[in-house]
Amino acid sequence: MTLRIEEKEDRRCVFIEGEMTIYCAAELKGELVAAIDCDRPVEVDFSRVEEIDCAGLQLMLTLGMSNPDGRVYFGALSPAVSACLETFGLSPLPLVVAGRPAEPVALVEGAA
Amino acid sequence: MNLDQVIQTFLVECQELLEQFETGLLAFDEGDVDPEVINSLFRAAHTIKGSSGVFGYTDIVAFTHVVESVLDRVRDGKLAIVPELVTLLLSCRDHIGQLVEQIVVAGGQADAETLAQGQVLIAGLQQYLGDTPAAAKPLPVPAAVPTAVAVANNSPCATADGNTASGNWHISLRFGTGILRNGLDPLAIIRYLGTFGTLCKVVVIQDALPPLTEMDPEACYLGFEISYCSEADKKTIEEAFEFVQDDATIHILPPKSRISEYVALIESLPEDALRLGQILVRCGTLTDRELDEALNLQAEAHPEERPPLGQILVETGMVQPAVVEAAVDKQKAKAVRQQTTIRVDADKLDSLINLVGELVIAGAGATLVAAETASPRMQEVASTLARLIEEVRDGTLNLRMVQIGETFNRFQRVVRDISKELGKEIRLQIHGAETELDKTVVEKISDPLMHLIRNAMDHGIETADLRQQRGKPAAGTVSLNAFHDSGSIVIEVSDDGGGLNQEKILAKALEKGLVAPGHNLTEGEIYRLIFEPGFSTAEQLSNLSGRGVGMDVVKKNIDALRGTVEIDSTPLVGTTIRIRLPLTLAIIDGFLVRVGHASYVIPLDMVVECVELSPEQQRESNSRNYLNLRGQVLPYIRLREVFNHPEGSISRENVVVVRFGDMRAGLVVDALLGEFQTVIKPLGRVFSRVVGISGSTILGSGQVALILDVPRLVRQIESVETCA
Repeated sequence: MTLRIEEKEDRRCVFIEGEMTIYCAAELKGELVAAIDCDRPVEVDFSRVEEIDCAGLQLMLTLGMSNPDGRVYFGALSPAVSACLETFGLSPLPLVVAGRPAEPVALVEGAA
Repeated sequence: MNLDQVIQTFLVECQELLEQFETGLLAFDEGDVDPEVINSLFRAAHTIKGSSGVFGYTDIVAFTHVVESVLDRVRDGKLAIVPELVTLLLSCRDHIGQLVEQIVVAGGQADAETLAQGQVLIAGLQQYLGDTPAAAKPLPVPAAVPTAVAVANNSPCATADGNTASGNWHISLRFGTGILRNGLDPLAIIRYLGTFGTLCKVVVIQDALPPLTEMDPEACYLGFEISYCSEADKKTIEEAFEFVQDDATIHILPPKSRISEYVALIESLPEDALRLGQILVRCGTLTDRELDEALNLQAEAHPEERPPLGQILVETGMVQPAVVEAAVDKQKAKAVRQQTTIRVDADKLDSLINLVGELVIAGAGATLVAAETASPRMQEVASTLARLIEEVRDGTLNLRMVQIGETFNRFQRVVRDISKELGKEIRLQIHGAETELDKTVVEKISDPLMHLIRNAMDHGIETADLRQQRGKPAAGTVSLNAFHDSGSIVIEVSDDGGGLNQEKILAKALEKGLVAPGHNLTEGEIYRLIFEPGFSTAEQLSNLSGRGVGMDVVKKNIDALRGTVEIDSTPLVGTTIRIRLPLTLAIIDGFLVRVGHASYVIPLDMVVECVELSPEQQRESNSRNYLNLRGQVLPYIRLREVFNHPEGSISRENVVVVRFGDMRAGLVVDALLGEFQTVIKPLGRVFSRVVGISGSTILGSGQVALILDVPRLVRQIESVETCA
């Protein structure tokens, strides 16, 4: 698992790559906490996540929760992540549209 | 674990289930649409499928699954039983039998022809499922890797074939915090559920999840409520949670429509002292685990206030109220105690019977010795011993007795199939199904009976037109009748067809040179000609009969069982073939007689009476071997002459009058020694052709006595007389 931060023009992009599983959950949590700690909007991109389990899902869920000012939002999802969300009837709303967040996001139940 | 033994058990069970399946289906033909029969059909298919799955016979599982699906629709009232469906299901039953034969018994794969046939049958079955052949119901076989997961959030549960299912399971999961650390993953488990069912709705309970900064990333805070649609049973679903069950709170509620099945099951259970909860466990509504939980809850409550078990179960939502009520009724109601059976190895039974035989002989020896001592106490004890031994003997021999009705019922299917094939309407009537006979005899008589029935249907019963011309009902009747008669069991195969044509038979016999021209034969002898090898008066051969290879094989089989066959026939009215078989093979009640220095045993069942042969009668009948017994003529033979005993001084002679069937004869002996429990020891192969002796036995004194073959002797007497 690697977490890569790219500072873009209008936002910080946090790329999570590799696994989001119990094996790296502790490490990932630490890095995520640090990564979202800034003043700019943060887009968390999951498009390179190869594998995800409930530990990883929990991290996604808390990300969505700990976001009262709507600063953090979800970017693209990898197929593995999409499948996981679908199994549990969750969908990230809304997705990134043209690189700009539409609204504050959280994982919401319901059909995508 | 001995795998062979287990497979053997599987085969035996499979056989029984297939028979049960067939019997149930044939009952529908009679117009008998009993829901309990439908349930038993479903259970039979379900059990075969499940057991096959245990052994990994996936071909059998796959086929039986479709059959089970159709029966499930019937059970839910969505499909009516029509004759075409019955025929199709009967073919499916045969196909399953073939698959078992090829895969389990022969230990190979199903051959191409069988598989092709299976496809045809499945296509037929799927019409009843409303399926197009392409879409099949998901099989309850877990995939090694979770592949396509059937997820349809927020949609009513519909299975692939477009039916609405009977209701959804509700699964409630609350995981312990350590579950992820233990290497278990709720996502994987829930995905697994999706491989043998449809996750109609999954709700993730996030209430316990703390914010990111405070959460422990390796702890599990999630819960799940799942609405689940699956054909699998509760146990299978529970097994999905096998590894997490210690770390999680799991509730599984069955869909509503299953209640009637549970209720019906409860009502059919035999009465015993089980508590309510255990009855529900047997139902499958509860598993042992849940019962434990409920019991724990009950134990925790105050003893004085302890609510009844049923209440706890309902309150925790584990059992639907209707099921609980039914179980309570069950305990209150007085039910008939169901017969329980136990499966026993046939070899063990045989060695037990051998031992009992030795016991009988030893007991006889003890009685003899006791008689020699002057002690009344010894004699009393010996007599008690003898009585007990007799009871043990009877009980043990009874173990090998089965009702012939089982065999008779199997012929229903044969008659049904053949009557369709011949285009004649023929019914099978069965009488005396409760008549019992030895298991080995039942097995060996089955084939001859089959052939006789086929003959009756093919040659005996006329076409509908001809029958109507003759003023008979259009539907022909073949009847099977079984009863006991003087130590034998008699089985009759009758038909109300055209009867045997004496002239034709005689003509054919002359043609084949079996009979010399001009030789006068009685009616019985003419009929018996049909047992000659190669004999047939059929004008048309069918693949059923008519080639002339059947009847002589039938006679051989019956001879091998030491039985006899007679034929009764009336032209245009019908024919009856009567088979007589000895009742028991091992131990009989005998009547001991002495001729010269030797002892002989006559089966007591055949003895009618004993008469002293007075000197006048001796002189009177010397030349002709006839006796005047109370005005009736009685042919007799002297055993002395038959067995070539040296002439000795004959002081008094006695006549034992024996009966076999309709024939009576007298056997002249020297002395009558009384009743005697006879353990039959077979003669060696050297003596197997000796006429007149059917076995030997050991007397209490250690001496050997020969057992007379009364039917043969009587026949001999009869034929001697007719020729004279």
